[in-house]
Parts: sequence; structure tokens; C-alpha cells
Amino acid sequence: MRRTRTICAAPRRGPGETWGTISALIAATLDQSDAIDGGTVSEVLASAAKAGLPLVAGGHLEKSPIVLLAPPIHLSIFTVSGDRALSTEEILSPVPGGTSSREWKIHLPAVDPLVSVVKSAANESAHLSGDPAPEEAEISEKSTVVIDREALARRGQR
Amino acid sequence: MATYTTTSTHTRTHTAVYLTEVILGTIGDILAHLEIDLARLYNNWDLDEAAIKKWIEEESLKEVVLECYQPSGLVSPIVEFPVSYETSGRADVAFTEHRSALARYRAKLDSVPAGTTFRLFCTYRKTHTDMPGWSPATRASTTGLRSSSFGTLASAPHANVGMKYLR
Repeated sequence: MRRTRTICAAPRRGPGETWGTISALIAATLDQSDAIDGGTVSEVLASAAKAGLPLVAGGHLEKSPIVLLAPPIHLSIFTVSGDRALSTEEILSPVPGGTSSREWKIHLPAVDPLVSVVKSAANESAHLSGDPAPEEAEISEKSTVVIDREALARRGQR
Repeated sequence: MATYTTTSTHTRTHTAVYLTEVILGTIGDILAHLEIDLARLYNNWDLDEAAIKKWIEEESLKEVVLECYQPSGLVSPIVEFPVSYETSGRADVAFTEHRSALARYRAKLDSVPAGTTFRLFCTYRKTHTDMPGWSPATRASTTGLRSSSFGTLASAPHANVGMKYLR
């Protein structure tokens, strides 16, 4: 289930607010799943900001998206800036279909000159990657499969 | 046949938000290209963004300056981002930037040794609002440094920002 969302950056929003909007979209999409812990998502997005902020401010997300893989969801998030940021209609609601998601990974685009910055941020969490996202909504067998078992257990106790 | 028109009012805030993003984004790209640790830029991002935006909005900002401090004590390169203001907003001016040209320009930047750090400065053209995280300081001397101008980095209805490289 491939989806694309476009977030309006400057001059509609500054880079900090743009990153916050991207983070909120990712968090809300993943929150649909009982198997995914919201606290973990927040921590991972905070780590990702070290790369996310310069990616937004440098205009890099206009051509190279952040990709959220949470099978069956494959979500590509782009930004637009300039005059287009004032005229583009946004859809900020969560991407539907995430209730069955169990695994998730955020792929940050390792674009020049931020390759090292992205790789460094990606090393901080198994839910982050600086590698290109697979074309299909599945997490590569080569990558670490991360399931929040504690989150599953907590959900089961409610 | 129906015709449609759209109008949008470009405010000084729009100009300030846009140019602030271009300035900080360019600083991030330059630091990353020079392999200088961006941690300080990230840690102070909200404060820096708010301050630069405020000063452009009130038209007090003269320029943002990036100074790179090498372990030997040498301060080089220095990158200046001068801001020029329009006396009245020009409705026909779009928001434009030249980041693709900047990517080619970055290839010309001299490399710096490992351990090089950086500082950000702002200079002013008139009285400015005090902003959190910013305090008076003295820039490094630029005597003896050669200056190279990139030209206009970005344009907006109420102001433009350029870039100069000193080494």
C-alpha cells in the first residue's frame, strides 16, 4: 500500500515546525497499531531530528523522501518550499491501513552532503535506516526485524 | 469557460521564514560537507531559527556569519550571509533559491582538519530585539582573507540573502 504525502515547508513553516509536522504524521500513522509503542516512536523521531532538521532546511526532501515502512504501509514523505509551499494542499491525517502493522522502520535519505549525518542518526536506533527503502511495503530480510514485544505485552494487559 | 484566479499575500513573516530556512539549511550543508560536527547546530536549532527569523522580520539583521575554528587556531573558512531588504514588498517577486548551484559551489570549499568547530554570529543594521541564546560577542578578524562571492542565495518579496566565502 504505497502512499505519498507532501508537507509544506518554508515560507509556510520554518524547518523546526516542518520536521514537527512530519514527525506528527509518522507518529499518528503508527499509532493506529496496537503492536507499536508510541513512546518508542517518539524517542526514535527525536533521534531522527538530528538528520531530519538539516534534511528539511537544506531542501533535500523535495527530491528525496523520508520513507516510513510499516507493512502494509509504504509512505513516502516529501516537502515543498517556495511559492508551492503556499499553494499546495496538504493531507496531514494518518495514512490508513496501519492497524495491522507490526514492524516499522523509517528510512532517511542519505543524500549529499548529509550522508554521514544521516548514517550517524540511523545508527542510534534499529527503527532508523540510512539505506534506500525497499520498493514494496516489506522490511528487507537483511535488515533487523524489530517487534516491540513489550508494547504487545502492555497492550494485552489493558 | 470559467476562469480562476488566485491571490496570495506574501507577508514579511513569509520572507523571514523562507530566508531563515535557506540560511540554516545552507549552513548545515556546508558544515556537513566540511565534516564539521553539526551537534551544536542541532542542539540550538530552535533558538537560532527563532532569532534569525525575528531579526529578518524586523529588518534589523545585517548578516549571519559562520566561522570555522581549526585546531591550530586559524579561523577559516568564514561564510557570510548578507541580507538586503526591499523598501516595499514586491508582489511580483517569487520565493527563489539557488541551492542546486550551491551544491556545485561547495565542491570548491577548502577542506578543514579534523576537530574543526564552528560559531555563528549575527550583525545588525539597527537596534534589534534580544533573543534567547544569543549574546554579544566579537567576530574573528577577516584581515588577510580572500573573499569570493556566490551571489544571491535566495530571494523573497521583502528581502534577499547572499553568500560570501572568505578563506
